[in-house]
Amino acid sequence: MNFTTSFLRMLGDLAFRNLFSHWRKNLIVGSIMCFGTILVVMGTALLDSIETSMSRSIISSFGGHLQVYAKDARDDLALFGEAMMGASDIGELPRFDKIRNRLEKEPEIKAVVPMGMSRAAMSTGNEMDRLLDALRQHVKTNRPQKVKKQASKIRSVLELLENELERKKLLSAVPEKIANQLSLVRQAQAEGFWEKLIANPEPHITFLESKIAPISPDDRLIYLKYLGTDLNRFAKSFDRFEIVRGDMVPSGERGFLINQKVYDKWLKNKIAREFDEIKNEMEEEEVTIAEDAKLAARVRRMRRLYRVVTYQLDPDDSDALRLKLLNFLAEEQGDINQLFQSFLTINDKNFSARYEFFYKEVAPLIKLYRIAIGEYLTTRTYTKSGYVKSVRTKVYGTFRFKGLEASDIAGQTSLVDLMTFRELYGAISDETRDEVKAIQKEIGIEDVSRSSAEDALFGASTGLEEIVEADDPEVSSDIEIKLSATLRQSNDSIKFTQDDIDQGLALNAAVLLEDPSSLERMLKRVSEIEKEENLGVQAVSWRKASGIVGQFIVLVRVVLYVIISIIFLVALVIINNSMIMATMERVKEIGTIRAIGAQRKFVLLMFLMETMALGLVAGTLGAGIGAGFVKVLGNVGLPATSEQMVFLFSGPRLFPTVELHHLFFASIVILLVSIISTLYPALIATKVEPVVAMQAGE
Amino acid sequence: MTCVVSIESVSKDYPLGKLVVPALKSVDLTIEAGEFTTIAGPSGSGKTTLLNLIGCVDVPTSGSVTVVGQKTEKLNDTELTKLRLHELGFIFQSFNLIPVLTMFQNVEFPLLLQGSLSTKERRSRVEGIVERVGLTEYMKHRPNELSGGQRQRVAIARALVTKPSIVLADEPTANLDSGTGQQIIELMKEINQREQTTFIFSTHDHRVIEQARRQVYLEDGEVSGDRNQNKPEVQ
Repeated sequence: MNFTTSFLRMLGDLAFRNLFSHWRKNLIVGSIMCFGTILVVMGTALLDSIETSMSRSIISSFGGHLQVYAKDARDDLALFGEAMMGASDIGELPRFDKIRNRLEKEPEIKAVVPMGMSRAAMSTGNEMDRLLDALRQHVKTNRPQKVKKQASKIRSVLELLENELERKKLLSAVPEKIANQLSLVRQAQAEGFWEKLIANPEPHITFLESKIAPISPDDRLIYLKYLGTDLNRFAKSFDRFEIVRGDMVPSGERGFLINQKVYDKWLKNKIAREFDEIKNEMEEEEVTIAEDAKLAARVRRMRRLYRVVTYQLDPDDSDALRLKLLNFLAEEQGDINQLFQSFLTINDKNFSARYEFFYKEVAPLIKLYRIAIGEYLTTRTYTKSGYVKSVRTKVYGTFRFKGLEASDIAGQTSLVDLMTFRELYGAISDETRDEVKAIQKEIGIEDVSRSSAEDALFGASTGLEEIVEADDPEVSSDIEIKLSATLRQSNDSIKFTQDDIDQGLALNAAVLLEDPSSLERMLKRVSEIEKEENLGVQAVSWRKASGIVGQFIVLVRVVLYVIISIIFLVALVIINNSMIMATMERVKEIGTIRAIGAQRKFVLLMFLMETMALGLVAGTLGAGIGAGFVKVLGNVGLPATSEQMVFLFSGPRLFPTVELHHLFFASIVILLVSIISTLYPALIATKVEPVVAMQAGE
Repeated sequence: MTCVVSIESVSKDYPLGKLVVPALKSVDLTIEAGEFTTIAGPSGSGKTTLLNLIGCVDVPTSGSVTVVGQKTEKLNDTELTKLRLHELGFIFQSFNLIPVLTMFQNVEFPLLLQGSLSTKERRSRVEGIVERVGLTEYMKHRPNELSGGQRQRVAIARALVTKPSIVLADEPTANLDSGTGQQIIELMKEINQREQTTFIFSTHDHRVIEQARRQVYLEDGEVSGDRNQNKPEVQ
């Protein structure tokens, strides 16, 4: 052994000395190797950290550790959307409680949360609808002062509508249609209409609701993703969940919890949203309106939106705001529209003052969000059997996932109670069926087929505004109103029990484990249970269940490995070339060594040792620098610059950690690169004949 | 006396383009243990070729070369290398020291290749031989820190450190001034006499030739004269 150590020491000595004697070349090669190692260490450490944090995001927002869903599902479960964005058919779990009871027997399983995800068109009614709703309320509660005020508000909106229709008429391809609408609007503005309305409100309000409201703008549908779940269990199981505004839906009641991100992004007043986003861009990205063309375009767009604010103002508020704006803008004259437009003419200098003014003076006068907490939301969806279903559900509040506030991925899905979900999904509860029967009895229809019952119940005429619109003489409006009233009531006041939630349908279920590291084992365990007891479920890990988001990290990993491969391929070629040159330069030395009595394999070893020594130095240095960088990042945190990154980082900053296996992996890679790149030159070196040592000349 | 080198009707041809150049033409030669022999002749006479064949770094085109009882044409590369390592020592015209190693390491190198001595044995062996060539104080120097004569002494030490049967020297004084060359020859002679190591060296320097006890003359690839001071001259 003594010999071997001396021998290796001599070889090492030879290698190191040779490195120094060709230091220029080796500096370049070493730098490439060093850079490659830094990249390997940092890349793998960062990716692993991102993967860990992303798994936290997924597990703690909607995913849970495992997801179970129907065994006979046609498509794969994709919680965060899939590449094709199509609606996928993941089958259904008809009796959630059976699955839950069985799975929760396993000691490692902490909780099983029922779920069902779907998309729906949501509407809040339009501006006119809301104004009319309030008017009706004031009429009902008999408050003439308020009725008057509301009436004048509506009239000012009508005026704007008339102006717009006149303009539209000139441009429209179907001017007759517009003319027809225009005459309706003028009818509502005619002398005496409002006096008649106050005297006899019902038919006049109905007229406005049925004829005018559909013409008035801003009746956009918003398509939203929602997750039906056992809300209490959801809140308990997903510890990042927290209510931002309003309250949690009370146990046993139906209700909507809107994702705060959706609330701010889609439901906030457009001007307010633009203000928020411009502020955000100016602060986060440090751009100025003067320099950034995109931001400037945004400002111009906002200016054109002035009506989403001025429309909403009632005359008194409008006058008050006009005076404030005159003062604020130091103008002499101008109506509210002109003034507000010039208020919205924003530049870098006046932005912060106007932002402040907007939230202080304007925001309290308008409806800042299209749906206020406590209002009802009409969700329309295609049920499984293909008919349109419409349900009004109270919005109890908004929620977010702590740390993931900025993420769109965690912020795209709202929550609804499971009972409402089932109704929208098209599963008829026993209760609803009983009610349908009762109604049928009451109105004298003895024998109604299931499909006609569905038509009657869930057809196009469930929303109140649509009922008024309906003018089909075949259908008695009396029945419809009754049906709809019953439905609204069933949404509102009929409570349900935990058993109702459990003993029914879910599409999938999140499984939370006591110990996350038992994931693989529990995945196997669930399939074992399935095999033995035939529950009709399959289990997937959070990664698979998350759809494209979970795959994203795999993609990034592939990209990183490709980059690393390219760098090392370049290193390989450079090292290979320079080693061939070194061989050529040292032919005489190699010949001498061979003549003295060194075998070919000694020469091979000598060359390998040389690059391995280089690899060792460069690799150690690179690993050190890489680990150092990661350590620094781990202390400072890597900021998430986009909302996607917030989700990946599971918060606004990523604190990556480097582990021993990252360094180990890097050293293996660098060692392999060293060996492979030297094989060919070393082989050439072994072919050098000892006779060259004898050739004269220095 | 035992015969350490035996060359029987050896020819060696080198291809030169389409031509074949004969470097040696049917040479017969035997060298006995303890000789101090020079192979002399003008350049191109085949001195180096003959030395290469004896040194087992080349094999003949025809004929047979026996070195320390082994027929070299029957050995493969590994066995030839082994033979060189254990039985032969080389002294080169341009010293051929390994530039990145110290003088001590250069001398120690063949011992490490042999791998049969302990560190302590190696150290004392190297120190002994270095002392013999008179360079004890330069142990830690690199070759480029030594003069030409010193370098050749190191080369001699390296050639002798394994106690080889034969030491081959190809024009050992060609790159040295005459005074230094003389000292090197003196050193080789002294070692030859004391250790009975066989020395075979090529040269075309007349002063050097005269100092050898046996002079083998080569001309156009043939032995043209062999003057052995121990034996009557054969022409």
